[in-house]
Amino acid sequence: MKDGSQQRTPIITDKHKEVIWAYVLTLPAFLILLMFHIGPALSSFWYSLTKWNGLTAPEFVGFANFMALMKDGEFLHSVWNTILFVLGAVPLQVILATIFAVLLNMGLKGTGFYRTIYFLPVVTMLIAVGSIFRWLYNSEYGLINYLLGLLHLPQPQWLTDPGLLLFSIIIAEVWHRMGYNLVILLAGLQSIPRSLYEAADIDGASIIQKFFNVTLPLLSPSLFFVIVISLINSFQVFDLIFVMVGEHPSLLNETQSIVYKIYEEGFKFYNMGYAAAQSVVLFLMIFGVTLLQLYYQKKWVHYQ
Amino acid sequence: MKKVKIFFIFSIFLSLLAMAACGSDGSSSDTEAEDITLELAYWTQDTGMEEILEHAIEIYNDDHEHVEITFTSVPFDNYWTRMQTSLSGGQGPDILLMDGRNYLQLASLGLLENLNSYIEDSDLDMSVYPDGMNNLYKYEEEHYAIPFVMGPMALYYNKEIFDEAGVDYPDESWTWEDVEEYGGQLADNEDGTYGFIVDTTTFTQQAGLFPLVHQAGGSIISDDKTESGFGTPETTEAIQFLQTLTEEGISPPVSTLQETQAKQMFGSERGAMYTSGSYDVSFFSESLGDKLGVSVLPQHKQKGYPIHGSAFSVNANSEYKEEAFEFIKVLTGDDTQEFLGEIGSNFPAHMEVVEVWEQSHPELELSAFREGLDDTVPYPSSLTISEWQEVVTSELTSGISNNTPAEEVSQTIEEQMNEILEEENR
Repeated sequence: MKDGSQQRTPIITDKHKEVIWAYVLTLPAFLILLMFHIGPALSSFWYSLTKWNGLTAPEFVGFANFMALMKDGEFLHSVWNTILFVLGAVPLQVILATIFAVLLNMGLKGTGFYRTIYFLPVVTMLIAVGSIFRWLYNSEYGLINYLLGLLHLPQPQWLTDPGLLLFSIIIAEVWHRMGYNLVILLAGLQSIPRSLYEAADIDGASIIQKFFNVTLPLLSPSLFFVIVISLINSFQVFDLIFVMVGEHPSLLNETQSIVYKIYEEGFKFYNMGYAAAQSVVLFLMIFGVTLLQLYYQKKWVHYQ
Repeated sequence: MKKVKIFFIFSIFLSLLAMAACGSDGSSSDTEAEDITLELAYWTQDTGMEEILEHAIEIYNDDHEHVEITFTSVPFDNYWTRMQTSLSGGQGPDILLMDGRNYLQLASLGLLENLNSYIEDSDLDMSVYPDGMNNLYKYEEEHYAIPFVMGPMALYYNKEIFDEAGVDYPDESWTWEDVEEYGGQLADNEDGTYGFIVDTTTFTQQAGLFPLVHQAGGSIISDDKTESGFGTPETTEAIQFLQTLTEEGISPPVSTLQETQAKQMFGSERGAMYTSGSYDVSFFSESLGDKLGVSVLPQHKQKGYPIHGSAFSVNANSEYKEEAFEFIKVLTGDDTQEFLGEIGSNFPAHMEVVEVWEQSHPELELSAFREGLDDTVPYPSSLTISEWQEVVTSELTSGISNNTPAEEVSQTIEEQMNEILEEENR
């Protein structure tokens, strides 16, 4: 810029400056996103059409990976396991989070304290959560079975009974994720105007009626958000399975999720192309479910 | 919804913190570079590796003042992924620790330097290593790695449990029949103590199924690595033996081993006998003290087991291959090998200095490890080893816990393993 231009209306106004700064400041984050998220995600679409061991040049094979997937019993089983996991974990964590959020919203003493307690698991690393639950679940030395023993209740093999294992993992997952949902729902609850409850009181509504006719409809935008996020997270379950059963292939059959299978094919067996094809399938599944949710939200989500 | 937003930012911040906290593992030692710097990588282990490397660097620097050596340790689970990706990207350490399971893959991709001419030029005597080790680390009859330490197997036993049961200590005459007979007397299942712990749940099966298959006269994979050794009467017999031991309560149930590592069980005095490698000597002598005894493995139709060990290789893309090889020579040479024996780290691959290691624990008859070496075969491997190893462990453990007939287990493994091998050789 020349000195003379300062007198006249500057070519670059403050508004422009702000915009430029906005771009400059978001650029690093955007580049990181581009390099480590968007780029690899897009390239895995290409790799899903190749046979590639991650080391030599990929070889184009068309849809052969996808055809093989349809016949791969282990993969289909992992899809089934993932669906079971989602069906177990999502309702459980959303319902529990709603109940606790409503309780915390009643204005009892120590709400802040409890909110922190419920949120702590969220900021705990999943690997640590998995290791600690492994100790808790240990059938001989674990705290859970010790307590069950004191109460003369059956002491199940949480970590080695194939029928129970997925459930054990769901419990750990719910413990870890519930706090996140709870805090969002709590914020949603706090934005519901008091006056609506007062009006309901005057009409003589019971607590239950108030919950279903006032709280739930007004909470629905937060609930919608929470359900979408929980579904996406649960479809991608990996860490807990890795920590809690990853060493034991015979138990993995009953618990292996799609992401675990992707990890195994890609980073243990070096079948990168095949692993990429699986991740494309997973992407389509999550994409489909999320689209359905967006479509059906009109029927139950009420924006104020 | 402003609260939500603040909350979001806060939680993202926290999770970033958590990620940053766990991102800084692995150790490295750096000082100022002079002329050239060599990088060495190994997987994290509790055998005093740092001490050994520092010792070797000191010797090496006596006549290689211009070379500086730095080293990095990577947790075993990430080690191979990291080596594969960095080496194939033309980078990676100059020298890397190698195991028999991943060696073939790296060598076949041309990522490791062929060391044959270096060995010839420097008159390195490869005959100091047992055949099993030399064969394990060959690829198409050429050397791509120099053996560093070995993991010979032996039978660890707990003298106290033997004394209490009034059973004589095991010796080289012991057979599978003795294991079954005395194992039953030594086990006290109400107490949670077992006669003979076999680790069937670790995927390498190095101390689990593989020694038993060898003792029954069978093999895991054919010599040309194209066909599974399962589905034969010998492998079936080995699986049957494991099932019998578990059924009779001599070995712990699979579910117990999946929750509590076999090594931990024996270390906490819940087993009278346990098969494992020389790498556990320090751990057990610390946890069991005077109660610990060592003997050669029991035999059946034949003695022995498949031998495994680690070795050092040179990155084919290294700029300083000569210097790297020189350092490997120091690491695998008399002096360093003696030193690692002295500190009781592990069984040196250099057979001439093994006695030094044996004296590191004079109270134990460590010669049992050396005696067993005469009857070893190379640890089974092929390019797709991680795939079929998983099949073996998966089918074996579920076969034992569901009491599937041994023959059926053996045939299932054979079928699946041959499918994988067929794909490999296509």
